[in-house]
Amino acid sequence: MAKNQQIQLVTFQLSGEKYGIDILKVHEIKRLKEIGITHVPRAPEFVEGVINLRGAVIPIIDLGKRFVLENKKADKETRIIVVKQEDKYIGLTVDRVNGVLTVEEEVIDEPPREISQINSFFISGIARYNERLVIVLDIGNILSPREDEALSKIAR
Amino acid sequence: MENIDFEKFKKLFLQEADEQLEIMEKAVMQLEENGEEREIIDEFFRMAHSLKGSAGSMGYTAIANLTHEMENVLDKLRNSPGILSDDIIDLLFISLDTLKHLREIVEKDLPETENPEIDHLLQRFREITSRGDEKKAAAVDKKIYLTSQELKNLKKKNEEKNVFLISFELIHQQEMQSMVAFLVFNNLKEEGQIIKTYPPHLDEVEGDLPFFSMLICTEKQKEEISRVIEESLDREEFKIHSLEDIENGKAGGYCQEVKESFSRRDESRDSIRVDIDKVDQLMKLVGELVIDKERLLEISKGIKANSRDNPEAQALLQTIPHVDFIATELHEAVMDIRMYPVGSIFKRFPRLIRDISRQTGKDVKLEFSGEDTELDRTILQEVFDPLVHLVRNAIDHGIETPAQREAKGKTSRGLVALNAWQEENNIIIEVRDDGAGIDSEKIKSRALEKGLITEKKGEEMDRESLLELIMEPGFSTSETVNDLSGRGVGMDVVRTNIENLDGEVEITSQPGVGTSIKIVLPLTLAIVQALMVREKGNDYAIPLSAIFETIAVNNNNRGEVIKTVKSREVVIWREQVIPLIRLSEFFQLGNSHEEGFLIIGGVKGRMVAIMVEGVIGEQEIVVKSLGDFMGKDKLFGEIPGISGATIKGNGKVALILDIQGILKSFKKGGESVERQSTGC
Repeated sequence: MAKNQQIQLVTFQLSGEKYGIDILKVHEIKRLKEIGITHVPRAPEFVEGVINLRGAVIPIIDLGKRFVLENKKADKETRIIVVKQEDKYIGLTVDRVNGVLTVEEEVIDEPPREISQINSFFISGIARYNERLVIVLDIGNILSPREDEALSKIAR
Repeated sequence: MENIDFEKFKKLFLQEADEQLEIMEKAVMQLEENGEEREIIDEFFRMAHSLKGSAGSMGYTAIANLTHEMENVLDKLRNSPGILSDDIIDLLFISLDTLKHLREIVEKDLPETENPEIDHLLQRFREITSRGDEKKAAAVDKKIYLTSQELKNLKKKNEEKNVFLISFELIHQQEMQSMVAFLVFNNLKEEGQIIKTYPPHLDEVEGDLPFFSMLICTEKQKEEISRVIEESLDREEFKIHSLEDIENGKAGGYCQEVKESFSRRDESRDSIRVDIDKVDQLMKLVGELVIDKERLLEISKGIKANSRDNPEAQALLQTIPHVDFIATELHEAVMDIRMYPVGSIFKRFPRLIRDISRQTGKDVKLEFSGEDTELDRTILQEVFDPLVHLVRNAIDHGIETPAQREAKGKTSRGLVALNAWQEENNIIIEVRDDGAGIDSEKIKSRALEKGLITEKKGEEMDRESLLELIMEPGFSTSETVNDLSGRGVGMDVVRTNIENLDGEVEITSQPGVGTSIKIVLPLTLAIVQALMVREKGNDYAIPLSAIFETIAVNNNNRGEVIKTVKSREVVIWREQVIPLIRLSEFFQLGNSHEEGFLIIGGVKGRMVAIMVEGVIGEQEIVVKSLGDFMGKDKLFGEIPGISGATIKGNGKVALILDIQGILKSFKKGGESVERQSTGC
C-alpha cells in the first residue's frame, strides 16, 4: 500500500463552519423539503423526528442541536445526510452540503483543542485544504452512548 | 469467498446437527422407556452416522470422534441383543449433552480445546464395545435394510431399469478381503448406481470382509452384471437377486424392509427447510404490499368522485378491490408460514423432566395437549426459556416427594402438564401441576419481610393479587438456593419476558391440589388492525385490540361526558370512572381542544379515555420499530406512550400509541398529565 492514502470527505456547512464526513459512512443525501419528517413527541431534544427510508423507519437528528450550536432555520439548502454506522442508519440535518473533497490522509491532523465550537470528542481530525480547514467528524463517537450522556448534560 | 461458503456450510451443519441431536435424544428416551428396539437403534445409528459424516467433513474432530464411538456401541447393540443396560443409557445421555456442548463451541467459533471429559467418554465407549467380543461373529446381521419409502422408490426405478441385490461370500480369498470388495464395488459403479451396501460404506471398510452385499440400479441385464463381477473375482461365490425376489422374501434374507418408527420422516417428505431470514424478507415485502394496497384504496376514493365518464378509471376502480383481496390473502398465507406448532418446543421437555426428577428424587409424569396449536415462530422461541423456568418451578416447588404424596392420599407419581390452546386472538400455554399449590399466607409474610408490601396493604390484598406477588423482582419463596430454581432468574424475569412479547402471565393455585400458570400470548405481532387518529396535524395509530369505544365530544355533550374529580378530569363510561388524558398535553404539544373524540381504551382491565382532535378511520397497519436508536435499551431511550411506527398510504411515518405505556407513565407521574390551568 502506498503511504499517502487518499480519503474522500463529504463536506457540509453547519453554523458557519465547514465539516466533513468520510464518504464511506454516507449512505445518501436527501433534501429536507422532499421528505416529511414525523415529529416524535417527548423524544430527546436533538431528535427531529423519524422518516420513512424505503420502508424502514429511521431517526433524524439535528446536528446543530446535537452539538449545541446556534441554530439556523431550515431552508431550501437544508439537507439530510443519511449515515450508516454498524448497520444502523440515522439521518443528520445540516445547513448545506458543499460537495466531495479528496484529501491525502496525511494532511489530516490531530484535532487541536481550541479549534472548534464543538466538543473535540466528535472530531477525528482537521483537514487543511487550500488554506481552509475542514473539521472531520467521527460518526462513531457522535452516535456513541458514552458521549450521549455527556451531551445531555451539556444540553441542560 | 471461502469464508462466506464456510459460514454457509457451518449454518447448514448446525441446523442438521440440531435435528439429529433431537432425534437421537428421543431415541435414547425410547430405549430407556421400552428397552431394546431394533428400529429405534437403527434410527439412532443413522443419525449418529450422518452427524459423524458432516462433522468429519467440516473438521470438527471432537464431534466426529465421539459419534464414531457412539456408532460402535449402537452397532454392538444391534448385533448382540440383550446387552442394553442402564450404564449404556446414561452414557448415551451424557454423550448427547457433550455433543450439544461441542455444537455450541462450533457455533460460537470457540477453539476446540483439550477436553478430558471427552477422552473419558471415548474410553467408556470402547470398554463397552470390547465387552464379549468373542461372540461377535455369530450374531452378525448381514442384511441391507430398506425403508418402505426406499422400497417404493426402487420399484419405480425398476420399471425402466433393473434393480439387483448382489451378495458375495469370499471363501478362497482370505487376505485383503476388503480390497476385493473395493474392486468389485468400483467396477459395478461403472455399470449403474449403487444404492445401498452391507456393510454401509463398503468402500471404506478395512480388514476382514468375508461377506458383503450391494443393491444396484442399472440398465444392464443380469447376465452382463454377472460377467462384470466374474472378471474382477474368480472362484468366489456370489448371488444376484431381482427386486421381485426381495419383495417376495426370496433374496435369502439378505435384504429386508423395515417400517419407519419415526413419523418425523414422513412429515418432512412434503415440507422444505427454509432459512428464517427468507421468510422474514417475504414478510417485509408483504408488509410493503399491504401499505401500498392501503394507499391504492385511499387514491381510489379520490378517483371515484370525478371519474364517472372515464372508462379507464372505472376499470381501475374495479381492479383495486381485487388487489385488496389478494394482498390480504397473501398476507395471511405468509403469516401462516411463520406459524410453528407449539409441540416443537414441548418435545424438548421430556428430557428436562427426566433430569430434574432424578436430581430431586421426585417421580414426575409429563403430559401434553394442544401440541398442534400454532404460534408465530419468533414468539415461540422467546417463550421456551420462561416455560423451562415454570416447569422447573413446578417440579422443584410444586410436586411433593413420593412419600409426601402418598401420605396425602395422592398417587406417588406427580403430574406436570403442558397444555396449549387458542382463545380468540390469543394463544394460551399452560403449565399445570398437581403438587402442593402455593400458600398465599406464606407469600404475604415473605413479601412483608422483603418490604414489598406494607402491613396494611397485605391485609387488603385478595388471594389473586397475593399470588401475583411472586412475580415481583426480589421475591423468591424457596428457602434454599439450589441448582434448579435458584439460578438467580425468578418469576419476575418470566413476567418481563412475556410482557416484552405483549403477553401476560396468570397464576391460579389451590393449596394441596396444584398450581396452574398460564402464559397468554397474542397470535401475531406484525400486522394489526388499527384506528388512525389525528392530533395537532400528526396522525397516530391505536391498535383496535385496545379500543372499546369512540365517543364524539362537542359543546353540547361535553358537560355530561367529562367530569372533574379532585381537579382531575375523568370520563364516566358504562358506570365506570375513567381517567382522561388529553393527547396533546401528554405529548407536550401544547394546549388541548374542547371538541374532538374520546378513545375509550384499556389493557388488562385498566381503562383510559384519550382525547384526540379527529378520527380518520380504521386501517391495517404494519408494525415497525422506531428504528435502531429509539426504544427500550437503545441510545435515545424509550419514548413514553409510543410503541412503534407504521408507514401510511402517503409514505409518511405515523407513530403507534401504546395504551399500556400511556397508562404506566400516567400512573408514575400523574402530575404531568394533570390539566395545566391555561384557561381554555
